[in-house]
Amino acid sequence: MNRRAFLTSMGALPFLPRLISGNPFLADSKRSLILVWMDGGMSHIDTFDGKPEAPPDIRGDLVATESSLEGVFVSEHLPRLSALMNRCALIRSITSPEGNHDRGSCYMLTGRRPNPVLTYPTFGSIFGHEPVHDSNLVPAYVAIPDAHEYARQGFLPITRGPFEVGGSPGDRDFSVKDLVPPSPLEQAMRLLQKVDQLDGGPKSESELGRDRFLDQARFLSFNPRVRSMFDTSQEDEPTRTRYGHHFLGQSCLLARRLVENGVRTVFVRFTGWDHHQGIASALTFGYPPKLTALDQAVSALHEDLDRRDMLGNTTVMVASEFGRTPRINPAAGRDHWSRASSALLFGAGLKQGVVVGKTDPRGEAPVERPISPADLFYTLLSALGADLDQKLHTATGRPIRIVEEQTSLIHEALA
Amino acid sequence: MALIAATLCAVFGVAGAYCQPSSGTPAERPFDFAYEISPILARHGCAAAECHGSATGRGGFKLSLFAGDPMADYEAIRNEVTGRRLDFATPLQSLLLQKPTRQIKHGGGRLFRETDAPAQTLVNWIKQGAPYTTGLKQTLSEIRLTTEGDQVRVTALFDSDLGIEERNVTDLAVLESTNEQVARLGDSGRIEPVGPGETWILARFGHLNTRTPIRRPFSQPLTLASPSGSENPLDVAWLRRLNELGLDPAPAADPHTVARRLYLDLAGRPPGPTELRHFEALPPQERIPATVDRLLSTPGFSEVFAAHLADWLEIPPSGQEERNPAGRDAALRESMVDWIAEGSSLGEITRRILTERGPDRAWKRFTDPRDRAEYVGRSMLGLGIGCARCHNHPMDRWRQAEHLRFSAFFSDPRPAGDGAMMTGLFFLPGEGTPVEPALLPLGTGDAPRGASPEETVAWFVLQRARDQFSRNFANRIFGVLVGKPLVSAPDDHRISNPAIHEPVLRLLADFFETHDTDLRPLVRLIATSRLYALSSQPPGPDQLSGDPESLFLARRQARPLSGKQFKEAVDFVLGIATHRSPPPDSPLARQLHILNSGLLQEGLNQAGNQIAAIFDFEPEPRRQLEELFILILARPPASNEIDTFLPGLISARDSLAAGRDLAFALLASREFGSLR
Repeated sequence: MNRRAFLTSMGALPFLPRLISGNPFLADSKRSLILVWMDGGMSHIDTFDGKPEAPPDIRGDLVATESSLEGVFVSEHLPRLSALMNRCALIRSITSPEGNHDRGSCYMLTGRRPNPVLTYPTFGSIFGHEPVHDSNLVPAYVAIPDAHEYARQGFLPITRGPFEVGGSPGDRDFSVKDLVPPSPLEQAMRLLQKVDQLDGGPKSESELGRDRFLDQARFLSFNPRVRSMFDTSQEDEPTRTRYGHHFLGQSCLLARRLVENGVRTVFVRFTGWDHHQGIASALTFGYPPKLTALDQAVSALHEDLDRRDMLGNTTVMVASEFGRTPRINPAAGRDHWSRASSALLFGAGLKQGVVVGKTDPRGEAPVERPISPADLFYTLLSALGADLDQKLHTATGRPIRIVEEQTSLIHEALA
Repeated sequence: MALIAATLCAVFGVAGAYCQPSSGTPAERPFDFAYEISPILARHGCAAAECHGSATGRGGFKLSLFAGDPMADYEAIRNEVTGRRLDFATPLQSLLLQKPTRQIKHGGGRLFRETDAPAQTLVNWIKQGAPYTTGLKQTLSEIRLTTEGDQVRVTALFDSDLGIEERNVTDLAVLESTNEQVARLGDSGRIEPVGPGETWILARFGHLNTRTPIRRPFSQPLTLASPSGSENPLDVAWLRRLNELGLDPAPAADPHTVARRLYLDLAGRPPGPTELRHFEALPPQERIPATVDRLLSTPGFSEVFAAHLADWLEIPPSGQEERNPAGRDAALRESMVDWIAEGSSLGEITRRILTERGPDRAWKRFTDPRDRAEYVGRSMLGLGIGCARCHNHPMDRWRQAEHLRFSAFFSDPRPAGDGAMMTGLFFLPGEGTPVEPALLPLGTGDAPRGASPEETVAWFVLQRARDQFSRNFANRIFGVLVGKPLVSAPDDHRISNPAIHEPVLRLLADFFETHDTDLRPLVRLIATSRLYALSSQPPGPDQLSGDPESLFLARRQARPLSGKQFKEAVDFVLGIATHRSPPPDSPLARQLHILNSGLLQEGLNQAGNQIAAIFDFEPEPRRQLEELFILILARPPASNEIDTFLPGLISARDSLAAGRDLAFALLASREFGSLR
């Protein structure tokens, strides 16, 4: 059996033209999101809101210098991002009452504070979903390696949830969970198709859904061209090295490959930012040092998207559930601090070289333009061109606004 | 007098409410803010969440959400913005009128005209000096919703020193139809029919709400003298409902489908080949009852229902015990298997979970007393009380203060000044005064004297709110057996979430209560019913769901096996324990897992599996094929399946390898993964 016949038997042929004819994503104006989530709470003072003039117990052991954007002081451990600041939109005045990991993440990822009655959906479950059909088999929302508890579909159906790759692309033996059969399946798959055919078709919506997701699984598994979208080893070595041979580097590279192939949201969960102790060394030592990984991966992503002319269609945000205490604690760490945090954005729908808001000289609270996580949520969805007028519906049919009442856009960051 | 009132009505179009001679006319009787003015704010959406009911109000004017707090709203209207909202000299110049009639810019648009009844009421109320009360101490004790032809009527009963007064409040009540595909509500409570089916009219007035169904049959209701010959009371109630709706029940499913259903539902696995043959050998009318009786006494039944119960009571499944030490949840799950095996009723099990010290107190996993109270509400009573944590909910029976008082039962003992421990105290954040614990306003009666907070809660759940307890569990048990609970969102039996067949739920709840909340009699009643054994064959390829038959349970809906059911079914079919996890919930990940995780391939290659055994002991390809189908799909192959798959088995050089491929295809098939 040749490859074409095999693919036909897999039901995969209808999608080939789209893939062969080049980048299906660039063909339309749909935008995609890459969300780099600094899980645990990224210190704003040690990254994008440096306070070099503050006393030592505030500014910490790491040095911040002025970046390519006037008045913005960025850690000297982020040199490449510092140089890129004039191409980004930096929000420095995010402020929230939620200083607990779960609650803070909920607010940032769903635009709503935790609610005892409803869990709201995140970006990737809200936008970019079209019914899975023959010409639309690429998953809309992918999480690397997995999704945060609040980076899920919430009250929406589970079909809107993330597809989790289930491993670190930085690992030498990385493979997407269950993507490749342990042994050849051609004959069994042919028989499966016949068994399903003779069964007389789906008997319910859930069986119809199963058929669609089986098509999608086949499409991703058995078409080597499609499967390769998950394979960062197909990139040339200089590119892989530029992103960095570590979790975040290879995850950002994978995110770019996925977006190129039509995935609408990629959630990259970079854990280990909860630095209650020895924050300076935790950020700058180890392999790779946290800040180095961030600097390398995100600057490479910007460069790569730019070179491929994808910045007009891809929005990137680096954010976390909250910032960290301005004052260094007795364990040389910083604790949870939700009154101020920073988020770095660039790409589609956003202005370049803007900084929004400012914290006081001690980095404790915004002194101008306070931004709530809900405002940021609204702004990001707007930058993505999501239809915010439509309502979402809970399982009992209750209509829910996508964006909370009394939320406003960060106009100065939007292109 | 009556004549004057009638004239006033005719001139101003004022609703009948104000025109009753007994209660006087607007001109002479003072208005009551809570029951005559506040309802205007509720009815016209002024106090909705997207308008002034929002947490921060709108345009500097904040009302309580859904006008749940008339006193605060009165304060906002009367005394804020230095009185500009009310202009006593020229009432029509009041902001309260200029905005909704859009004489000046209003974000909410025009809600009514100056000549409309609500505007007239507001004008007259302002003329009277905008009083809060009539001076008459009255309380709203009940609202009644009735329909006459296409007209809805809402009557409110007020208690006062003058006795009970009835008022028509149709024009003041908030009216809603739960299914606008069936009927919409027009002005003044007129019902506008749309299509066939059933909808519930919900009415809300003051803090009370009520509902009534409106039915428009799909075809001429059938007139059956005695619905079917069935003696199962569930069938009697259900068929009566289908008759009313003009729906025909689907035919019975074929015996193999029913056998697979029964084994998966009651034993957690498909039937084995011998069991299937035994089932077929029984006389048709004995097959189901005999099988149900046998399965109810197996350990499999206790395990299946302990897992359901753990799910209903939100005990995290194995491996996901983040909020509670793993050992405790595992121990609790194991205890539940034992309790069900011993024949403990759900009432007894719930009592233990609520009152016993140590690991069995499931609500201990929450630290906030309000979370605990809500947990007990939704899991044990099927009531979502969480909305009331933050605001009075228009479709709830309880208010914010009642939620808080109920939560007070769940606070942990704290040290008192004298070294002793105080119990049952709950402090409002930022306030020093403790809230006195009180039970939710459900049922009547007082807890036994001297009962501890835990015992009081248990008494409440199992005695005072016993009816709701029974409705909750009857609904959940029906749901797992039939595939669809009667009340969707089973943890939220609110008034706007009615049962598909209220008389059926009523019957099941009563039956459950009569049988001392014992699990097995109710399971037997449902599993031996005609309703349980219906076919799931859709009427056509484009009508997979949404047809009236499936909506009203006149036909079964095929549903996917849960990940756990799938894995247990695979293990049972193969006769070995595979070393792979069950497929995940995410539908794409599930299909990838089934194809590629090794669950099937490794299982099929594992020594001693049942598929290999067929090919070791059965030399005849046709028999091999039949055995494969019976083992995996619990049915023999159809003739077109024999024609399609037999040649491959006959010509195969390695028949075991060919058998494995076919077994893989059957295990991964649409049919195997579904409960039809």
